[in-house]
Amino acid sequence: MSLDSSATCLKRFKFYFFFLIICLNINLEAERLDYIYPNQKPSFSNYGTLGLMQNPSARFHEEGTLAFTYSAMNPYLRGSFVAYPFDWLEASYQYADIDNQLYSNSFAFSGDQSFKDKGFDVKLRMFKESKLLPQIAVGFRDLAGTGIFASEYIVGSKLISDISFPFQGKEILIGNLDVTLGLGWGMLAGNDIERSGTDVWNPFRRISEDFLVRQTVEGTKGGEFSFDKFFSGRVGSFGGIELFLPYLNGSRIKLEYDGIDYEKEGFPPIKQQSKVNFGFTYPVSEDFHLKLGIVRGNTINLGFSFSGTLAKKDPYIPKNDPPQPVPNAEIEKKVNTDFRDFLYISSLRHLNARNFNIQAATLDESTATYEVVYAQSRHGSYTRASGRVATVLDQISPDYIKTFKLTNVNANMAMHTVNISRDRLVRHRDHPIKNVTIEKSDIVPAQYDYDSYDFTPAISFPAHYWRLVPVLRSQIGGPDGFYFGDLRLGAKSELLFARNISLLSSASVGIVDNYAELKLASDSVLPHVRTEIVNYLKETKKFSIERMQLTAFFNPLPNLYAKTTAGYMESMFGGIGGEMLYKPFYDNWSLGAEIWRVKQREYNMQLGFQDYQTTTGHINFNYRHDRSGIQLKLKGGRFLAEDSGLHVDLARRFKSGMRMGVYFAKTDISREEFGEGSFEKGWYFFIPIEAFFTNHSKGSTGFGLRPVTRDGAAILYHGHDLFGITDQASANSLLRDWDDLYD
Amino acid sequence: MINRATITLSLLMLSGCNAIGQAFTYTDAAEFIKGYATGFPSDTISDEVLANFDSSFANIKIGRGPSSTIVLAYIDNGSHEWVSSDGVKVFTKNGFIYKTMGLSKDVTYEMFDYSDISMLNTPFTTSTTFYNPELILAAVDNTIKRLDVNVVLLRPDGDKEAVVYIHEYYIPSIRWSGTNKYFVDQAGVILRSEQKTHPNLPSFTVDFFYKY
Repeated sequence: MSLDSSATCLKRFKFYFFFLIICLNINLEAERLDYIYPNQKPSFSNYGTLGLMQNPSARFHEEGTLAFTYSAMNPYLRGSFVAYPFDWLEASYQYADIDNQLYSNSFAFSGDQSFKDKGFDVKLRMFKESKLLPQIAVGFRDLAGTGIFASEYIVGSKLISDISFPFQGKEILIGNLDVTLGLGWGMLAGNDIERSGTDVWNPFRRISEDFLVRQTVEGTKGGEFSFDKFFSGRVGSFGGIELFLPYLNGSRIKLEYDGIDYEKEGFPPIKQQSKVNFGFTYPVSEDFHLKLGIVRGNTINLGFSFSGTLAKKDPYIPKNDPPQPVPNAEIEKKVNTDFRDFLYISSLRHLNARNFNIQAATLDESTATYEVVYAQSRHGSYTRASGRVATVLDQISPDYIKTFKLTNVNANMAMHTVNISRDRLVRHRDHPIKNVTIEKSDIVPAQYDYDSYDFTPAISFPAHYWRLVPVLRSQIGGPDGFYFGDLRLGAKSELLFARNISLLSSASVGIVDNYAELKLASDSVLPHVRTEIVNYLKETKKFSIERMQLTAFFNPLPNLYAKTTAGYMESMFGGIGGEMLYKPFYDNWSLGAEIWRVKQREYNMQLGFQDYQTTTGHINFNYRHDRSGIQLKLKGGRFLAEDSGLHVDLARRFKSGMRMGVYFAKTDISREEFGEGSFEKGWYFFIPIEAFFTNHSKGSTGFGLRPVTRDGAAILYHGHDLFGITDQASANSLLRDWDDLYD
Repeated sequence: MINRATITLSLLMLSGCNAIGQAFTYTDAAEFIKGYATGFPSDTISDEVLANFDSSFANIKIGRGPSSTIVLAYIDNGSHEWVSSDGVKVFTKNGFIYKTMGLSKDVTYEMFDYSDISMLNTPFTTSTTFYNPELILAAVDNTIKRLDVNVVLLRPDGDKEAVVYIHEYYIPSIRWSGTNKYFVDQAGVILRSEQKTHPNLPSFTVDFFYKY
């Protein structure tokens, strides 16, 4: 190598060396900043969505986040539920108490209760933030509501990290600065953008002149989407900053130029003395924020928010519930090798101790396969259940057994079979590999003939399972008062007469309630299948039987499931009927049908019925998109109030088992016949209980809200629906949790 | 205007509907909720447990969570390696946790012997590395003091008089400071340590039971 080329090499080496040092320093600095600015999750505005104080921002939480926010700022008290089914979608439902307006003009109707407004907000991310460019989002406030807070906006937010300046030889840290700027329509057009020569300026006027005029919607019953109003009329600007302070646990100062048009929002007049709002947010923890501020130059604002990201496996508490080794396994294995019956008994004992109930077993020496049929209700992950069964069997089975054929059943219906290679199970224990430890071909539809097995432990029927639960029933936002509810002690019971016949019951006794003032009568023009809720609540203050249904399950053909049910299926209806479901094992869809002849129960929810009776039935189509976890359910047919139409349920299931979803329904009744809200809609989420505990558990807790209780599109709720019972009757239900095999 | 609305809010509790024979009970839930709200009491080490353990072990409690037992697996030149049943490893030097492996937020501290008389009341600097998020080789300012008055520790293997070492530390780069305590018996054997290892983890309280 010549001197010249070696000098060039050295130059290049120096360049790359210093470049590496710079990159390392940037990286080290970035790591230090994580400790200087902890708790960096974005914060909520007073409107229950992420933002500054009155203005929204373009920020989003991680997908799978649920939040509750509360804000008090005269004349508004606002509580919101916020969900992030995707990291580009924010959806919130809020309840506002408006102190400067009465609920109604009739004292006899609503007393002096203040006005209550419900609203639904949506925000969508258009462009993700990059090093140089801001994040851009489009949002809608008070969508399909009464319109008193309705607005649309386009907003951008940009984070400027680690602002500091040198002072007397030291570096003074100012903080991380998140800058937000936006354009707003409707109630967010408080700072009109005017252009000379035009009365109203709107950037979309070039698309259509209709954007220059904002329609007002009168006499609405709510629940209607006013598409022709969106982004129309005057446009205003808004903006602000959120300064993350260093070394203060993630505290932040907010300063904003208020974009709200207080001459139109809510029930004016609301006096605004200043367009500059100032606030302080303190994160007590990553998920719990407190806030304090001054809004409009004359109003104190207080609030808090809880948020939690529950999408990932073990979102909060790492599990400390490992598979328990079998004591003296080697001795048991030796005995089981010599005596086949001991293997069955040993399997029964050790699996029972781990909450797996063997239904049948056969040792096939010719194929070196040990077949076990089991049921379990402990693990939400069916792969984990299979893995645990296989791990126990591996410890006690004779060495010549090469394969464990594990069939899972539920309600005596075969769900799935997993063929686990013993060699692969042991070899990959420390490093499981997708599609190798368990191959797709190892998961097959189950065939289950109870009589064909060598070992079928007897079960003493009837078998009874029961537990006590707290129950909270609530009515919110009525003219009689904001909140009515009762706390109850419930008992849930399941009595098995046979493997496939059960009596499912639930009853409760009231402990405390405030129903004395609840008196709103139904104004529905349809059969009162749901709107007699007040009577049901009041007459069951002391005792109620919510459900008592006898169900028999059948699995007449592969992939075909059926059930018949008779009794009191739900709190308002009882009768008889049945359901069938065709669910191809390897596919993502299923098709079902159900039909019920029901009578309306008496208000006291005991054993009597009222006169109203009807036949309700649907064709049900379910589809699941494996990769995203999105689930679509369509239910078309005749509903309880004898209207016909379609119910749509759209949800997303996350890795942790959490589900969040929305539903709506349209039937052949008019908006006027449906009444308040115009059409049936609502939202819900379910969280697996095990997210909060160190042990595995299959239970889940849920929350759902229907903005208005009406009679249109009312569905019969019957326990043990086939779609739920057959959740594990699909290959995907195991493949999605392949990494749980050794958990 | 919404003036005749009734809203039904349904709170569904434990609606696992997929299988017959749901076993979860609220008794379990109540215990855990109470524990996480008010803290779990430290597990009492019974005489039986003390007798049954052949090797040295320690009872470790992180914040208000439940206690766990870790077993002494290895000794190397004064450094002790402890292992839990779920594979977490904790490395100590005379009770000072200088390394963890397998926690959600691991740490590595430069090892030192706080009981070295020459270190008492003399500030010295060491380094530390935090994980999740990573902070590599941050400088730590340390001061070790010894309390003049001994304390009596109530233990299942008998009450013991302990010398208390106070370890004050400060990491200037992230402005994180705190105080650790080490309780040592008259022979210099560690009985208990109370130490905050990571800014984002609660304090560790470790009671040591040596069997030699």
